[in-house]
Amino acid sequence: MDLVWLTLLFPLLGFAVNALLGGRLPRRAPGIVASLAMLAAFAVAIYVTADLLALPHEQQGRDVILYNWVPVAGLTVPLGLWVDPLSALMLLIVTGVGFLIFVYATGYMADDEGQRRFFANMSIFVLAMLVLVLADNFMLLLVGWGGVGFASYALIAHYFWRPEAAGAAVKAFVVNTLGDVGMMLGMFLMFREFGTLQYFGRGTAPGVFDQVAGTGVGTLAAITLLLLVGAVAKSGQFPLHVWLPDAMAGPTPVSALIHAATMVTAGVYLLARAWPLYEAAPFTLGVIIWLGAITMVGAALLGVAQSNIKRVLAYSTISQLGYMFLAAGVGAYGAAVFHLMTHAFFKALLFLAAGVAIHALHGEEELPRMGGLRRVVPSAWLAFGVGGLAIAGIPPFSGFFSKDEIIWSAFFSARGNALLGLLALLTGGLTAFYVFRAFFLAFYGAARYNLHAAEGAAPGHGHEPAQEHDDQPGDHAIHAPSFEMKLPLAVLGVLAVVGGWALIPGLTTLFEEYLEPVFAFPFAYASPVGHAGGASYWTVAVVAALTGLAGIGLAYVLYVARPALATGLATRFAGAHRLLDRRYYIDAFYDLAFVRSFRALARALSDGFDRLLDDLVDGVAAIFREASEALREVQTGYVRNYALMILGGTVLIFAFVVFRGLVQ
Amino acid sequence: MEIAPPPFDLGAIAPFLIVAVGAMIALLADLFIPPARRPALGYFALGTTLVAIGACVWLWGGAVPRLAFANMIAVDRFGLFVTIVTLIGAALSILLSVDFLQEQRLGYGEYFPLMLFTVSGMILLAFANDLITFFIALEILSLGLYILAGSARGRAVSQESAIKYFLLGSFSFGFLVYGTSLIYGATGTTNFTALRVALEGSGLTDNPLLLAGLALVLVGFAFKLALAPFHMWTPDVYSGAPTAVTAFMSVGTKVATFAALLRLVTGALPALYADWSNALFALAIVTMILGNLAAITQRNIKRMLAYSSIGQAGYVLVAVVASDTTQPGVNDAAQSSVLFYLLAYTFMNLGAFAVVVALARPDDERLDLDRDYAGLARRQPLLAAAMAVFMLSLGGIPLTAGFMGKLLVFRAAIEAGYWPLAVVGVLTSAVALAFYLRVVVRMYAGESRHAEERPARVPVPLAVVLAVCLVATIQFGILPAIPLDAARGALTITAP
Repeated sequence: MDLVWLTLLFPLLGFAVNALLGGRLPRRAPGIVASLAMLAAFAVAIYVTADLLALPHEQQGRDVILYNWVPVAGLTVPLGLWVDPLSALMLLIVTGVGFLIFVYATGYMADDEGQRRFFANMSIFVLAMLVLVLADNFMLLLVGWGGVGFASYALIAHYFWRPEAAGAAVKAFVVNTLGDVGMMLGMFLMFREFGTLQYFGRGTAPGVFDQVAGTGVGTLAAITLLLLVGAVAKSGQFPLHVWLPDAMAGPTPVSALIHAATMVTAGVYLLARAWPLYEAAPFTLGVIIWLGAITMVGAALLGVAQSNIKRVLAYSTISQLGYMFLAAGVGAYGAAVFHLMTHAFFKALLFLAAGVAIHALHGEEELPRMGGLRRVVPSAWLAFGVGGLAIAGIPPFSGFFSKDEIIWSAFFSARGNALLGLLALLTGGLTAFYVFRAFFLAFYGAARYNLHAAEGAAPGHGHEPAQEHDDQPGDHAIHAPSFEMKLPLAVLGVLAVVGGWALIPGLTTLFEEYLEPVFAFPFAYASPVGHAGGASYWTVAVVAALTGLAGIGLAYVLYVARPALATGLATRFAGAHRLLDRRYYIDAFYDLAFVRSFRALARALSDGFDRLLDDLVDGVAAIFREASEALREVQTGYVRNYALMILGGTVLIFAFVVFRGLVQ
Repeated sequence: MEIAPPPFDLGAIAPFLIVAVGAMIALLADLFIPPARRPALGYFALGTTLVAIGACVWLWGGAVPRLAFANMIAVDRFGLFVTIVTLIGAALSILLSVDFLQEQRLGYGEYFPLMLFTVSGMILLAFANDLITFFIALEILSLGLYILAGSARGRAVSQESAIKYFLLGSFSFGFLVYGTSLIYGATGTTNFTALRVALEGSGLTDNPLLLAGLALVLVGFAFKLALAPFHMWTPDVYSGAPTAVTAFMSVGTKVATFAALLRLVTGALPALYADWSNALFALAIVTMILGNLAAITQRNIKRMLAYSSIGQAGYVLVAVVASDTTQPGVNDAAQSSVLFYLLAYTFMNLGAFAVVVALARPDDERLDLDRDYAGLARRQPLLAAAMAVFMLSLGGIPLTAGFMGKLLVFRAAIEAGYWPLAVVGVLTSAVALAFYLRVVVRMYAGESRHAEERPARVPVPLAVVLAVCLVATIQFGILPAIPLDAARGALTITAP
């Protein structure tokens, strides 16, 4: 277990090799190097986890201190890694799913001129993400937190010459920084209150979580709300969700790894990690529940109206993260983590499948210009179908089990109620509908794409502008996915099916036992999924599965059987459609309230205040220059003048010493 | 009347003796070796300084503090620390000179012996425990420097600088001697230890004779330290003297004289703290402002460095002012910051001069900032990088020795309650960046005028100097604990 630091070293090596030597390596080398580094990290992660699970349950929480990072008086922060089942699970997901996506990317990015930059940034992302999940204190967590924000920024802007990519990157960074500031303030407050930033105590020194009891409710509410700002920003929850759909401007593997499977789940991880704090802050829990519920429903509705296949998936990610927040809010932390895991499998699968379709069509992402791809790229069809069934919650696919835990918790846990349960159920149906809407639009019906027109026109696929003219004539054919793109689809497909079998009420309790060391605490309702099962569970499960099937059926009717009906509905409810199309005008509101008004303020400052300062600074400099010139005049070069100055100085000293002495 | 000769404690003055004897041997040896072999004298001088450093280290661990030669010499760790710093400066200056002298055709045989004599004066200055010893040491030191400043016999500016230095030096030392006699008249002694005893609890502290004597002695110090307004000679002498000599006198003289000043005012005259601190307070402010201001418009690198060294002396003086022996904690912080600053200054200033020496050509010393330093980074990137480090350090940018020095000095001033000194110090440091950074900007952003010319090879001794200064400048900035601990261990001024 002490070798856990190796999981940080390998991505760092992947980065270093690409950044320092990448220019001298063969064209495809960056991807291979980075993928091998990920494989090595994954191997270490498996070893560490096996090591951890060999321990008895009560010892499954190890602080691996690498060195003393901040040894300031009053604040000691070690560079320490906390290994317990929760962080080990995140470690496995990040390195495992990460490895598959890296392999996929070696094929997807094969023609990209910026491969080296891409894989260097991806490696840095993994490093930062691992620091985030392995940190044993909030300060180191923040390092990873900021690091993944930066990596996300750099990767969204991979096609930086495209204005929408550059703008999306800035948007993502600004919103995430807002969250970082919230977290930082929360940390300051925590330090003032507890005198430490360690999660758990070491030796005699208590950690943050050991001191929750006896702390004022107001203080805890402030701390948890400030931390929540960070979690909400990172996980794209309402009202800070606006950056995530735009982030799809990055390459598809980035969307799959960062903006679906791992980074955006960091907020959920934080809620689960800091659950002792949240459990003691009932007000914050209420906020989490309702933010989660609003996001879950609102994003699902938006997913219905998107024409871009990656944006459909982006809104579905936001919606699924809303499920996880809801689960955490009602105390079902285990269910949140369970869904986090299955979501990582099936959402990565969906993105990669969409990526195969996009790749096949030379970068086309618009659903109205796809169609009929089932026969063209059957691998993508199969993968998207499996992923779709998983997210729609159809048994026996993984999403069925993890989502039903959440729906059940929303109905029946101590903080749940019928309204939350119904919303979760309804969103399940919506999810099935919009995912299969995209599925049918892309893979069924007539082919609506034009490979000549798609060339370079659509965003999101990587050809440098200069390079596009070099395309061979034969390149106007479908790009068939290469082996390294298909292999991850197969592995993730299997995981998306079986991933949920780790916890089948009444049948397997693998996952529950696995998480027991993390959440087994004196809150009965907080135990992950303990009391699931029985009649109420299976009733919910059957209803949820039927709702999912109904959503799929509706999508089939509207987009395959009777397409005319869909356009008819869109015109009938034009107002609602516009509201969805404009994303509830939230983006427009932010643009007006923050971007435009701040820009105006900035312009006013730069025109007025800044110029004043400028003149002031120049003026001061001029004064010094003049004074210096004046001093040069005195320096005549004549010894007699110098001697006179010495005499003058002597008088000065006399004045200070003798006369002062006499006066006293 | 029978006069008992004081015991000859030659061991106490071993460093002084080694250097003085070495100087005489070198002087004699010069008669027997051909002019082409004169660099060997330089290496002999270098060896002498290294042996003297060894003697200092031996004394450091030995029976110190002790008084010798009828209390005229005080051997203590304070003096030893300063002597070691002086000797390091001397050793580096000698290495700096070896090839420079040959190249500039200044290879006169008396150069290295004179340098050693000067160093012996500096050492004596660091140990002087009597106004008479102090005066003799100052004269030994100054006479050597006068001649060295004029050692470029073929150049009028060199001659002029020597004459100016000599005339103004004599003028100022007149004040110093007169002040000494007034102090003797008021107290009946010139010995530091005896002075302190005489002044303790006596009514003498208001004696106008004594105060006038103090004022006149301070004039001598102010001249030698180039404190404004006694600084006028400095730019002329620094720019007229051969660069290697300038480098040598800009560090060693200041280090030894500051030590003597600190020993006099805190070791002998703590009773007059209010008086001398008041005068030095005024001098410090004037010096920091004038030195840094005047440097802004200089185009000649040596003149710029001359004004810069005036400003730097002002910062050291700030810590001297804060050396109030009635507050031991403050006093320790102030004195250790003086020692640290002097050490840091030795390396960063010598380093800067080493770059100037490295650029000099036989026909042209290459001193013009606009003409000769522009675009240096492209022609000689390593030299330019080194110069940039020294400039940033002199400017007090973090991660360099200069920053730590300024930090310690200003902190000592604030602890002692002299916040105006710290404020002026910080503000003038900001002004100083204008001319320090200009060098960096010229080197990295300017167009080179000598682009077609092949860059000169940096001789090995010079490269050693640059490397040592560079490492020390950066190391003291990042890990100041080692020299600072040594400085803190060297605060025992004068045995009782």
